[in-house]
Amino acid sequence: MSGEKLLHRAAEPFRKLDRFLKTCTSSAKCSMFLMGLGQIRNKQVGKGILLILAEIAFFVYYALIGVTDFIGLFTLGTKAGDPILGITGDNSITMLIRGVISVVVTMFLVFVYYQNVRDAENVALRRGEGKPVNGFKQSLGTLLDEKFYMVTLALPVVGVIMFNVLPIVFTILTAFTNYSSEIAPPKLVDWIGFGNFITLFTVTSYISTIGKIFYWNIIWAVLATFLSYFGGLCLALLINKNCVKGRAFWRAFPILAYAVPGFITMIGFRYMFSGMGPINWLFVKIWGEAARVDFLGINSVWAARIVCLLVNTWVTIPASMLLSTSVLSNMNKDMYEAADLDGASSMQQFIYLTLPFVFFATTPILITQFIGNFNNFGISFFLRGGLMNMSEYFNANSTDLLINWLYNLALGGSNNYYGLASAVSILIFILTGTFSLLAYVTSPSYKKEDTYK
Amino acid sequence: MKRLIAVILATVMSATLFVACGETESGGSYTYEQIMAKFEGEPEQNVTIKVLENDIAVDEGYFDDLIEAFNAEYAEYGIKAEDANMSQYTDLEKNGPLGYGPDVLYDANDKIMRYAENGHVLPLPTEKLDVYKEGNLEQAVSDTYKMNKYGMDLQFGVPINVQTLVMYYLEDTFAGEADADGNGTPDVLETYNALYAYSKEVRKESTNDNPVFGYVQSLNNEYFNFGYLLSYGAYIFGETTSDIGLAAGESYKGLQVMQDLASIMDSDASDDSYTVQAYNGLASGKYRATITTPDVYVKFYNSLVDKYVKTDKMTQEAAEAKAAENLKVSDVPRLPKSGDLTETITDVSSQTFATTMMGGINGYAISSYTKYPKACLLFVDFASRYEQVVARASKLGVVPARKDAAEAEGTNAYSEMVYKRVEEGRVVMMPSVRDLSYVWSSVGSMFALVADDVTVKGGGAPKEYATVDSLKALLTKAVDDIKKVMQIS
Amino acid sequence: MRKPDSSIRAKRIIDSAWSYLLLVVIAFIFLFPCVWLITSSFSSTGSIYDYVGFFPKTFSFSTWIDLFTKKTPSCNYPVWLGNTFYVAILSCIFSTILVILTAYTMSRFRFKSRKMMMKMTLLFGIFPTFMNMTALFVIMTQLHLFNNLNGLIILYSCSAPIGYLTQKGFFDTIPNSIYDAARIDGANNFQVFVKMTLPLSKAMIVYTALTSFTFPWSDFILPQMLLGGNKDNYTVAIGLNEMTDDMFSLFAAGSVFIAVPIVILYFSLAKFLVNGVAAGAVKE
Repeated sequence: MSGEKLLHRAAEPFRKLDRFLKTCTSSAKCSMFLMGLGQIRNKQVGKGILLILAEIAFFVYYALIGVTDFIGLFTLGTKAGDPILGITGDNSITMLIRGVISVVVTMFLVFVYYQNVRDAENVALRRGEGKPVNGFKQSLGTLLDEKFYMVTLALPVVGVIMFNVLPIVFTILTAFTNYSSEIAPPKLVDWIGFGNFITLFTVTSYISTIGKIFYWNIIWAVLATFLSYFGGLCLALLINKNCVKGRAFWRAFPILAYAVPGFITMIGFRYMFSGMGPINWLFVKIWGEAARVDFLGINSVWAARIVCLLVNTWVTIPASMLLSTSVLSNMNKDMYEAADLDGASSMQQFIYLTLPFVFFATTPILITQFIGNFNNFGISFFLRGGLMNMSEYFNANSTDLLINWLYNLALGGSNNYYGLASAVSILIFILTGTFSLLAYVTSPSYKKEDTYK
Repeated sequence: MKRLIAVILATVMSATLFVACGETESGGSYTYEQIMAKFEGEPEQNVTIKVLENDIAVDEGYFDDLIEAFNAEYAEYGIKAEDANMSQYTDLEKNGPLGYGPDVLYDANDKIMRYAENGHVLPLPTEKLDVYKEGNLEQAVSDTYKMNKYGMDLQFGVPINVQTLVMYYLEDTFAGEADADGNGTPDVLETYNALYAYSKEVRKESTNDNPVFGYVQSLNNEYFNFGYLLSYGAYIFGETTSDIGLAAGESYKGLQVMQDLASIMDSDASDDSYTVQAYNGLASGKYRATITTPDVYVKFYNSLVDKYVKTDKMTQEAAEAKAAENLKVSDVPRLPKSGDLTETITDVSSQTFATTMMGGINGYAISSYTKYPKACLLFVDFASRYEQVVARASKLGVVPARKDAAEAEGTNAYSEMVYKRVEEGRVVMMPSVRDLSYVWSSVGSMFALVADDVTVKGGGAPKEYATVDSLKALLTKAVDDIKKVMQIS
Repeated sequence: MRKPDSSIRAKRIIDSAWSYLLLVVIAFIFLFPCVWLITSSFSSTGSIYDYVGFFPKTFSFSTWIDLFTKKTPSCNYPVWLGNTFYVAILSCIFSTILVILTAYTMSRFRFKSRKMMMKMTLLFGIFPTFMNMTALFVIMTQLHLFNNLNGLIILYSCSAPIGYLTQKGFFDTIPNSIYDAARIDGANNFQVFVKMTLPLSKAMIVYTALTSFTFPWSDFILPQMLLGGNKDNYTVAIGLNEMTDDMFSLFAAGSVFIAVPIVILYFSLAKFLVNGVAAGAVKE
């Protein structure tokens, strides 16, 4: 029964199309035949010619490269090259990218075609009813007014598709290929289905590595977010205290730390915490040789993790302090006066007044901070310098997060496993994506977007 | 978008079924002449070739001299060589197929042969190259650039200099030390046992504010330390790359040697610190002796000159003269047969043996993506001629790969010593196969673990790897790990 | 009101004494690494391994002189600095324009695919971008923008609109009534944007410009990937990262020098910074 229903529902669009074909105007039919023809029939010659030109451009693209590129997406090349003999073969990787581009172009063509038919139909109907129709100049004019968004979004959308969407699609597709530094152009790369995911979850060294890294990644994200969030809040409260004079002065120090580029401070800290570095010098000076701590060495696990947490807190507290400061400045002072009168201690005021308010106001930022920390590449990369403890991990060390592991697999070391790394990035994406989409959709800022309007 | 991705993936999956069985190797066989056809005929005229040189050679001005001489020699053809001005670590494998990268590159043999495996560098017509003339190269040297491709043995690079490990020290530091055999090297630097005892003494003077070390070296470095395993019977690959000989022979003794060495150093031993600070450290007297490769001679020399000028207020000329006089390079010390550095050696020849170290050959190769192979061939030939190799050796302190240049007057004092080690088989050249990189990364972290185990918490004795069995287990595990990684790839 | 008795006064004094003590400690924690870096740049030997504890044994200006006069394969600071300025300033201009336009549009207009676009950008924003490097590398070589500073600028500017949410949050707070008034006067949406919105959002623009300047200014991974093929195109971040440990004072000097403009900008624009950080998030 339900199967039939499903089938019925699936066929719905086709029935709609069928109905449309039977009832639509001849202008729409003309536009279906050739983009812009219906518009010309509707006496919108300028628009019509533009659409015809667009269609020609599409066909030229397909004739010249589009079709080959599209086929290339599936074959990823059939002829291996040999640069030594000067035989230029197929470059699987550029073919993959060009194939994706051809898909994007095709989607765009479908979109334009659909709009073109819809436009022809609507205009023809209006004309039938004897209503006025926009001329070419008026149509252009709407681009500055009700369709202003088309103008402003055109460039960003193209840019984002080209440099963000396209690479992401490429990455996702790479996860299903055997692309690695061993199998790279001039050799031919092939589709291998879920092979990389299977490797990731079956080969023993991967299982233990992914398990250990994931475990630390979660702990890290929670602790790092907690430390920087409450550290920043406490610092802001401290500076905001009534007894503190010269707030701008005290605030300057964290801002100074905020302003120094992150990689510089992190490399600086790496030297500070190195085996024979100044911190250890200090320890030895005070407590003797036995106090020396191997903070960031290859064997170090929790010492290194704590150093990473501390350094991250140092780096992130200033921004979190700025945020808390501005949230606090929006807070209603009357509440505190009332609380004072009721005899609430400052601790009680903090727990029952400040915290709920700040927490509520900054939920979306908290989400982004959590995701940011989950994918905090810099700390382990700069503090441990790409160290890999191969006997405990596969291409990683004790402070590496999934994102560091992904980097090590894809770009670090002498062997690059692009396919595997892409599989890891899909994993990260699924984890963080699910979390933040849920958190975002339920957040007040998404639900009550129009509060101020 | 999500739906689209799903559709693409579904289509792709089904497409896999069809393409998976496609033949990827280009078949057919070629003759030597066909392969070398690129190098036949008159050289290209009025072209500029980009050469990726090693940073030290550029820094020290040798590279400028080289291209100037080359450009003058081939001015009639209008062939010019210039600095590719790229990062020293530019990866031809990534850049080449996309149309970027140098025409000629200088690198170590493992790197060049890694490129050769996938066809990124050209096999060279050895009959047109002076360096490949009969008797110019030791067999072990030329073999590092040999690979069987298209059913024949081909050479993929021109050897320029030999890399292995040598001992660096300052003569005046050891002025008071005995030299019983009169070979110019103080006895404390001739066996690791003596060096160990000496370093123990030196460490006693050391304070937190002013640390001093008798001997330092990076113990994490696979290339620097693999020799200790080799000396006690280990090997890298057997007949095939699936035979990994890390645990062969008494290689655990090599790890014991490293543990003893770690106990006279500190936690800097488990990373690259000592290697990068060696130049300054030797000059300032913080380190008394260290081992590293011959190609960084000039860095030690420069640090020393710098120290004499800045701290001792000497004139530039006096400082240079004194540095050249004072900086010494010698063979690596001998190892005890027992693998125990703490034992006192009474009879050097019966209780110790000459150490075998890793080595490699640096040289030039021609990118397969170059448009001007003939001009490039002229360049690599020119750069590998006797005069140029001697000039390079005297200017940079490298050890020539050409036998005649290594023995020539005007080359540095230790080239002959190093070359003799090559001839005696005491330098094991890095295998020119790609699988080496899997061994290297695993072995490197194993060495770091062993060193770290000793140096952490103020040095002293090994903790986790204190027994012979634990060391053997560590080696066996490393072999298993490497095999696993090789399977994945 | 009652006068506070002496025990309460004593409590207050202790309380403020504690607060100041804590503040001094915190200020020290934030200041010390910066001071340390500055003193390191004046080390005369250049290497970090000659220090006694935290500070060099002897000081000199030689590192700073070398930084600006010496040109070696491993250090060519003036050129790096010029490249960094070029990339950061142009990226800043283009990114700001694109981000402000996108945010304004997403906040003001209601069109069909809007909600979908917002969800998509959110998703793209959290995709781990490291793997994109490989793809970007290939795309840039195909577009002949590899080893090219302009390529980097295009890349930064085009990826910037992904992060429009903060700015959108700000535009959401501008009441519709302001726009409606202008619309009644017959202005079209373009004119409303130029004449009404832009002047109102000065603070937000400054904040956007500041963040889109500092990102390219100190980014390292992307430039290294896309500019590594030509040393004349290096930015300061790549150059500093390639320096070895024995060049620590050179690293420190180079770092201090590029941190200076950012520090100045941050301090002079601190007010905008505070407002900006909050604008996107603070909602009651």
